[in-house]
Amino acid sequence: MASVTLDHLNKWFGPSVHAVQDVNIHIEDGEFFGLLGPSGSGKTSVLRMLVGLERPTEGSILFDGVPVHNKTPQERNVAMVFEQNALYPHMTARQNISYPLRVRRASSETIARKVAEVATLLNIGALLDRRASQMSGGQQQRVAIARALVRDPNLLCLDEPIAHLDTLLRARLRGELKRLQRALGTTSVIVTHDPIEAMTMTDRLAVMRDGRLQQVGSADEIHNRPVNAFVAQFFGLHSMNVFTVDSCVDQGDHIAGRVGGQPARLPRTLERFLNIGRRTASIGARPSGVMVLRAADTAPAVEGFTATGQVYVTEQLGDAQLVTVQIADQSIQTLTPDPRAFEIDEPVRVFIPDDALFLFDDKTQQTRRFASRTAGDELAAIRSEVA
Amino acid sequence: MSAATRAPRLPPRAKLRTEELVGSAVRHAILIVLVILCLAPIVWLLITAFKPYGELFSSPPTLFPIHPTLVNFAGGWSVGGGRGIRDSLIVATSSTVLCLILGFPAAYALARRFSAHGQLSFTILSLRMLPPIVPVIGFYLMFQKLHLYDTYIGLIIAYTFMNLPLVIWLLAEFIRQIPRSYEDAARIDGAPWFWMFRDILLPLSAPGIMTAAILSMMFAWNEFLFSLVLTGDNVITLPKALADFFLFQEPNWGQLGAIGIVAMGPLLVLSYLMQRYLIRSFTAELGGR
Repeated sequence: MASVTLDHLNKWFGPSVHAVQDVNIHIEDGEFFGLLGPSGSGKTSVLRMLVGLERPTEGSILFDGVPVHNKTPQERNVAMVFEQNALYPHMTARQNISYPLRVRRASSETIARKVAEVATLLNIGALLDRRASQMSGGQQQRVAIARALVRDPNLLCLDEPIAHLDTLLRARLRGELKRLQRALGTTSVIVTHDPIEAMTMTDRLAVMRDGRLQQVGSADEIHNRPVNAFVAQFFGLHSMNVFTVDSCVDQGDHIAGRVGGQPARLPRTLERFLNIGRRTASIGARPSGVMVLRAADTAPAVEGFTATGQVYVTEQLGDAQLVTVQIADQSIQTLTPDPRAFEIDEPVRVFIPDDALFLFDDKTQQTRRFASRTAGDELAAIRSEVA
Repeated sequence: MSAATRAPRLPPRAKLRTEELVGSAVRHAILIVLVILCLAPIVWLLITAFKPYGELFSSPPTLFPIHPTLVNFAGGWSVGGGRGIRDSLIVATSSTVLCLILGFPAAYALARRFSAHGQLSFTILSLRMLPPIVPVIGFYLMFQKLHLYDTYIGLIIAYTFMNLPLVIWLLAEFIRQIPRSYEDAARIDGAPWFWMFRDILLPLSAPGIMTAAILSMMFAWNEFLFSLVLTGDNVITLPKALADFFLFQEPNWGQLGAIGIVAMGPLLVLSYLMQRYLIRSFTAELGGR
């Protein structure tokens, strides 16, 4: 086990592809760390440099403060679980798991003992004499994790280990992996494009985009205080709504603006964040913070954003519904516990309370104001509304 | 239950219309003619091999030997057949082994470092498309100078030259199908290059290697032109041993038939093996899932 430091890490593929750009991360000993990003964001390149499959073009990687970026994977004593084709197909599970030990020329007693240990740990004792083709996807992944753990690695790397499994199994393995990591205390890094995986499993995570680190922090921090519109939209159960309000004019008790030509009203509190000279605001709100109202409904007695539009589509999610409202050329999603059925093209009003509003710089997309309401508050709000 | 009630239950196939019947008959007739055309020479060879000398030219010819004999096999073996089989085995096996030893690393490099649609892969394969008569003159002149004329080593080199491009191309295509993550996993598991090669790459490539080996063996076994030009009395491969029957006198057709039949044996076995491996090399054996 070790702490891991990435120091000004850069990776170029050829002269034109700058896949990883000046990444600095420190991962604590025993931490479960997530690398999250869309495909092509450089997260897998970072992982491949961590395990030693790729060499950094610039910068260094340190385990417990000792540079390792010129060392082989074996010298680093790292392990990795791949997304697919993780097991050697011509070997049984037992041969797969024992391979790293056989390479290290461990004695046959040691091999038998270690294999039995991890097999018990991962509950795969019954699978040991099967080949990959005789196991389900989830079983294969469990054996792959056993092969990774059998050598007591300094660092365990997981490259989308459960991404291709079906939903139920994924949910179960998420929990299993988290418990396993806690129990063993092995420093672990998981690469994923799925915010839910990153949120639920890791202690801290980094969001990457186009080879650059966007934000590092706990799931709560990133969810409640995203540094820019990209992180806000990418991270979360549902993507954050980000839309543009232009022609903003201070009307004394509120700010009047337009969303794609449609009149809109913004709370006065945003005034000091607005760059009035440009009169354009980039507004964000999580779907759970947005309310959808019919003409007959009374507006809540709090300050907030309002605009009118039409229902584009509704999606039933069981205990809530996702209503997409089209306001001129922009669309806003709302997650509402409101059980009423909305018709397609029905005229509605969108209301976002002031405490759920994010404000982004309309040029740089950096966050200028965070919503004061947090994820916990939102859930509480939804529950109280349902009650 | 009466026949009348059962009649409508007959499958519709029973009521073939006339044109369908005629069509079917014509198709079968064409197929039968084709099969006869293909098999007749082989069948005649087989019959000839078992006929005693006196019966060969009996008029009218007999379809089956009246006094079947094995004397042609014994005679054929001693007049050059045995020698031919030995020399062919030496040359074909050696050149195949050499092709695989040289071809596998080349194929690996080609598969992992170059694009599948690149010029290099095609250029290598195009060497195989040369008419054999083109390189054979160069080989003849070179081998005279290098004292490789009429030697096993010379012929092995020539066959390796001819078969290597195909072996490389085939193996490269096969290795491309093997996901890289197996090699990555082996590196992370700490396997040195040789272990990775022996424990992971070689077993996973086995069907491809078998296919390449069988094809290379077949080409070398059947090859005639190179052995005709590049060897004399010292190395006599099977095709040349057969051809030698026609050189001096009226050939002994019975012995010729016997050697021909024996020469086909290994090919039949190889063809059978190849079918199995060709199928395996393109099916699920690999993916693991």
